[in-house]
Amino acid sequence: MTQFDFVIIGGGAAGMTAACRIWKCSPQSRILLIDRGDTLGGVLCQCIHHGFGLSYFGEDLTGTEYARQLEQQLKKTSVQILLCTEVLEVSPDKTITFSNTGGIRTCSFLHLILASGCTERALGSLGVSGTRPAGIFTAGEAQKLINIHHKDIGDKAVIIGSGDIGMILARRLSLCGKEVICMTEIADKSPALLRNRINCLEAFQIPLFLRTRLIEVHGYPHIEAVTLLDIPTNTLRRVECSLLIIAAGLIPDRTLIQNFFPALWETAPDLNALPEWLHLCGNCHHVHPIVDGVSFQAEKLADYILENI
Amino acid sequence: MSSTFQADVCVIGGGVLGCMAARTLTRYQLKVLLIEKENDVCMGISRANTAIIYAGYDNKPDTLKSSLCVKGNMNFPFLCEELGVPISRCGSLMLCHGPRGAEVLKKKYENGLQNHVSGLELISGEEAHALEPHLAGEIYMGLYSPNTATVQPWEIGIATFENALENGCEIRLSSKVTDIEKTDGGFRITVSDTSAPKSSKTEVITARGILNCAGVYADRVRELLLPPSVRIYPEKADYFIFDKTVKGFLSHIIFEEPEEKGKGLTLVPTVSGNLLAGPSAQGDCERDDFSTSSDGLAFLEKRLGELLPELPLSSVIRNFASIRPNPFEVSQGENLEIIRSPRSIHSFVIDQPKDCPAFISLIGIKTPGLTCCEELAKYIVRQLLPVLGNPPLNPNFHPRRKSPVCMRRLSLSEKTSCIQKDPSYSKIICRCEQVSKGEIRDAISRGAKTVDGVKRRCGSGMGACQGSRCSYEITRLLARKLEKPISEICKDSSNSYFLKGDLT
Repeated sequence: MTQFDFVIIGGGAAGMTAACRIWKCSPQSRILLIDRGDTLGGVLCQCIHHGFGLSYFGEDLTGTEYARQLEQQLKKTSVQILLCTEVLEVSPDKTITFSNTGGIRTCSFLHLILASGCTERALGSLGVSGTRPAGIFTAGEAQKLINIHHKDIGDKAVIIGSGDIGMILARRLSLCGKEVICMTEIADKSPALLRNRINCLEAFQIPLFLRTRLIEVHGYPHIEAVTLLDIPTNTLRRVECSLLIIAAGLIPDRTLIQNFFPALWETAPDLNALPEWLHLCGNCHHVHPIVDGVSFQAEKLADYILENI
Repeated sequence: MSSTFQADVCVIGGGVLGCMAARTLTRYQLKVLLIEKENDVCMGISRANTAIIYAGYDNKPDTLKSSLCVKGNMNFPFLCEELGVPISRCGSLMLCHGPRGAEVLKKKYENGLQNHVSGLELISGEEAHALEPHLAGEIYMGLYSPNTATVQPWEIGIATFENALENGCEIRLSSKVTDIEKTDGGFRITVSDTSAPKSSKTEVITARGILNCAGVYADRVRELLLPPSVRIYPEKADYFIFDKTVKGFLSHIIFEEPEEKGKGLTLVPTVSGNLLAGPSAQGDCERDDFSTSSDGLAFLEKRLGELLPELPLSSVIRNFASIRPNPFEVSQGENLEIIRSPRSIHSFVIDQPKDCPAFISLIGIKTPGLTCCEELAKYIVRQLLPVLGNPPLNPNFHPRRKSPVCMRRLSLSEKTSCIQKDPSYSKIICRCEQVSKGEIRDAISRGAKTVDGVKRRCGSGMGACQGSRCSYEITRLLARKLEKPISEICKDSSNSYFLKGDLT
């Protein structure tokens, strides 16, 4: 059985930064980086807008450029990289079994770093009533369909949530010639960066409804309208649309823990209960507002683990 | 006029009951045709209900319902075994908060004894709390039933359908029955194509017998030939589904009997490890309206807060509405207007007119219809057989369905051997539920034509992200396998296109 000092699951910003940092501080370490996709970079690959890397790299990059910079650093290390690789099992005896075109292999490790990013809150978790038609996407899903797959997902959009992801998508849809009818925000101000509010919303004259909650979805088999509640006045507003985008926030993706350590998950899905060899890195630890923060956290985690070996 | 298909028996409606009736008919030497108006089976009541296999203590003794339910419950594990569908025999706990509820529980216990339901036990509030420590508030008394179970209803329906096909049943999907005429030897059934909004394609089918299992439309199908006698006035109620992160929160199915007037909650730890909670108060609805209501959801939130305050409402991943096909006797007034009797019919309506015994209708099959599905199918088939001259048994009938690969239910060594045979079982497409490309490909080969059809066959898209990470990949696989442009792949029912096409 091959032995590794570190196995890192996830080749996005967090996984790549952690791998680079560990190698830099401890070049003799045997490090394996696994990703299920066929490229490194994770969600950064679908982020074709700029605004990344200002604090970590000191320059304004697109998401894809940020990923490529990390990848170039990584390629200079001795970190072993396995793409298109699915984790089949992680066992408490510190072995991991994975599968790819090369077959099924089991390796042992001293530390496992989970860098599996985050997932989006979907419509189902928002307590919204009504029908369940076609034409509803999460913002990240929509971004991937447009930027990577070049697909047309609909014409008249309502975007729920006014964070940066929603803002970026509003601009992307507008640039595709689609109408963004409005964006809604449950709080009394948008959590997005000022530059995104100016460049993505105001530049395209998209109305932002604050203190507004999505109440109901109408139409079947395809979405036709939504009902929005203006919270202060308790009034309902029906907005016709053919596309509903949910940009209602991100949740750390710890599916692997859920699958492989169900007992741990049931007793305490909190981070203090993790075994000392299992580490959460990047958005899988907590959701960071910008990717630079993910890289900084990954470096800190790498330093912490190395100091405590 | 187009082609004529000649069947011995036509089953109208591809829900759990229709599929089961079709499968039961294939035990005999009969040419069986199943007709379904939607683009897949199990698209109506069968896919949205409480998923419970009841023990049989709720029903009045010495009724057809009680005997079918007890028998159905006993036989369900064997049915699941034959069909290769998982069942969780987790048992149930009915609880009450005071003396009024206790009387109800005692009555049910007595009922259960008379119905020969085994294992029932009246237990104290403390014992109930010990069984389910997360339940809040005072529990006055509990009724424990070890045989109450749960399944995924659509898994039963689809597996039954697949087994019926293996045994020679034929199928017409996206086909709505628009006319039934009586002929010398049987019936002439006209079906029209529902796959496209403006399609005018029709087909004529002849049959010697009809089993009408059209669910919420069973009265309408019946009235294509017969005068109105029973009408369905559907009601719906809302439910929540919680993420698997709450697995272990409850270990039994919970039925709450409220002390004051009102609806008690039912909570089901499902086969897949989710928690299902509902129903909200029932309200009248249209026959196809599966939309949920804000009031219903607010009611559920409030009641769950009282009964299970530690259950995080942030773990809800979906809400849905279920429809109850409530049957009422009706008569026709002077001007042929329909007069509805004040109270709904409690029992299952099995309608076999004396002057037309080859046309049997199941109307208003509500709770415990799922529990009774196989028994009801056997019952109506037994009623029909003499009318058809008692056809001989089908010597080639094979009751076992070959169950598909389900990676998440396998051990590591089983997974390994699957992947070694076919590496596509390794590539995960649905991350929440760990469904592989191979399983999705199998689901499409088994008949899935839509993203939700794949979902019901292999569980993809049922997790917390509700398909937002896998729907495109599944759409792509569907398009490739069905040799259609990607823009023609639907999410769910006809015309629910997932994408418009390529960006221009």
